[in-house]
Amino acid sequence: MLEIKNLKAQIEDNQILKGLNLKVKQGEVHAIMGPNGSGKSTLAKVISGHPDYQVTEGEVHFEVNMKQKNLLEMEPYERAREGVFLAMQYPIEVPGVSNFTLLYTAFNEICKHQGVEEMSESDFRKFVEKKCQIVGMNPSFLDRSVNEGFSGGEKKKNEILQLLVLNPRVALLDETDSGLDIDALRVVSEGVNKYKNSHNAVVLITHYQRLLDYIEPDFVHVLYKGKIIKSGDKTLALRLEKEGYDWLIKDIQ
Amino acid sequence: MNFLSELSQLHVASAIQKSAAEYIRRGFPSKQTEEWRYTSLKPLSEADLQSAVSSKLLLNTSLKIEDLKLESSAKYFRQDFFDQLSLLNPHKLQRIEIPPSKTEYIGLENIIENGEYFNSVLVIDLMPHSKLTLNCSSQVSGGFANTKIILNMEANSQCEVLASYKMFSRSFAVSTFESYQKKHATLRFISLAKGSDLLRQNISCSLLEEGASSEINGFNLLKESLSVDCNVHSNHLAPHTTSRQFFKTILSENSKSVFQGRIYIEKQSQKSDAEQLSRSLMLSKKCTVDTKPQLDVYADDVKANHGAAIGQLDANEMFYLQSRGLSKEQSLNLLISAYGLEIVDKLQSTDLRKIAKSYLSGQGDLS
Repeated sequence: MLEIKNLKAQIEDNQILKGLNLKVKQGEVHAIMGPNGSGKSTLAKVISGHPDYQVTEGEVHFEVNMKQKNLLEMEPYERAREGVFLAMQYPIEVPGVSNFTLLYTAFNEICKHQGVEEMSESDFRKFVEKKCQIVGMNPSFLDRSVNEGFSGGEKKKNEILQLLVLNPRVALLDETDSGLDIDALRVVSEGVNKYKNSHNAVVLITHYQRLLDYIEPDFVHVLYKGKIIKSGDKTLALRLEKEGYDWLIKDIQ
Repeated sequence: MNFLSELSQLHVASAIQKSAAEYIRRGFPSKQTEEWRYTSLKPLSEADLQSAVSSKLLLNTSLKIEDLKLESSAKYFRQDFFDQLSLLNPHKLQRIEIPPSKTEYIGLENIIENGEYFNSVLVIDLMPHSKLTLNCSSQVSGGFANTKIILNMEANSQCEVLASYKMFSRSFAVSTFESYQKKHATLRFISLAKGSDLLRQNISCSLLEEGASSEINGFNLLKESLSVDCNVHSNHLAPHTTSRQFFKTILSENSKSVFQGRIYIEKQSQKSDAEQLSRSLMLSKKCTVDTKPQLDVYADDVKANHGAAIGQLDANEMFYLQSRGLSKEQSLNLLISAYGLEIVDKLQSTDLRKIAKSYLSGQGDLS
């Protein structure tokens, strides 16, 4: 579904991704771990098309209905309409734009693009209110400005609400667990589990094994200095939790 | 034919009109005049315009509209080019009175097109404890509107005004509001403008007695070569008076915005409270913003603040919206509306707010 080949990317003159390879298939959950500054967030932003990053080499292929598409040639909104979703580490506040307006506009644009019938405003509100329940959000949030004045936990829940509503083909979750208390972590994880099925895929970027207790990964990768240096199953995350990254880094040095 | 030459052929009977004709003959104010320093009137002076033949001002009110006589109305015209122009050739000169303790709504629609120009003066007298909601909309497409509204506000009267402008190409408007506010009279004024060519706003509030307050807010959405020149004066002429000026502008293409805000606090107007803020977002490298705050404060126990900020759209907000599937244009339009919403949300009247919101969301309707 998502195939990244030899991806190199930089911000200003700073090379961050240095030849990254990753293959994600339908129905899979991949966890990406790694020390601070290894390029995890950059990877998520490059896949979703953040304008601050320049791709200098490599390919990102995205398979939609048996057709290969080159994500790197697309604008961020085109990638979103194809089904790429990034739950951000620091969700942006957009004063004056309501959550409902954003969700409704985005939802119908995605429907239009994918040839699915659009929803009326009143049907959509009912649909979204149900999704609010899953992440424990009061529907009155919908009429407030996007993330404005939200607590850290509310912002993360809002990202998961968007994930559930927009129902993308692949979800990139960038440290969605950071800054969450235990209850919020459980709610957010349940949201992701409700989303995940055999037709979509999840890429989790995290520092902590804790999240993986809730959302079980099929693969765990370690990103270091812009490359994946080790891949394994969920037991890799458990070992990292216990031993840190030193043993891996020593290995490659 | 230039419309000033048409005016010179006008038959003037009264003495005040003769002096107005004299004033007009001296020509348009130039950039040498401080008040017109940032905006050139050359395109207007060269425009091919004719005096409006039919009524261009639609008044929607259940109140009696009185036609004023020119002879008794000299006090409404200042020594100003566009006031004198109205005096020389007044297409409409009217007065409405809001009775004491009554709540009223007035809708005023001004449509100018087909190379015509139109001068109008409307005097609204608000009696004590009366309440007025005033919706003024102006649409100018290929013409010139010179309109003036005077609000005489008696003690404890309240007024909320929404003034919206849609300016199409080859369009000019000079729009003047003056308020004279007695004890505890409160004015809230929201102006919304978009489109192209030239709009000059003169808004002046005179706070004559204690407790009077005025709040002047504006949002301008400028593109192509539109110039909006806002001249806002808050005159504190009594103690314990309050004024606010808050203008937001978004500029794209070759547009130009001028904000000249003046706060005047007279010596005896102690404990006055005045604030002024202008904010601009520049979406292109070719647009221009001139901001001139002016504080003339002669009392020593007052609050008077002013601020001006110029910036660009937040790239992170743009990316966030796009990463959810909104196109660049959709994201931009949402952020533009959001920027204006802060101004629109100041409206208390739900009717006016509804009108203002639909004005904001129809931002593309001039292109």
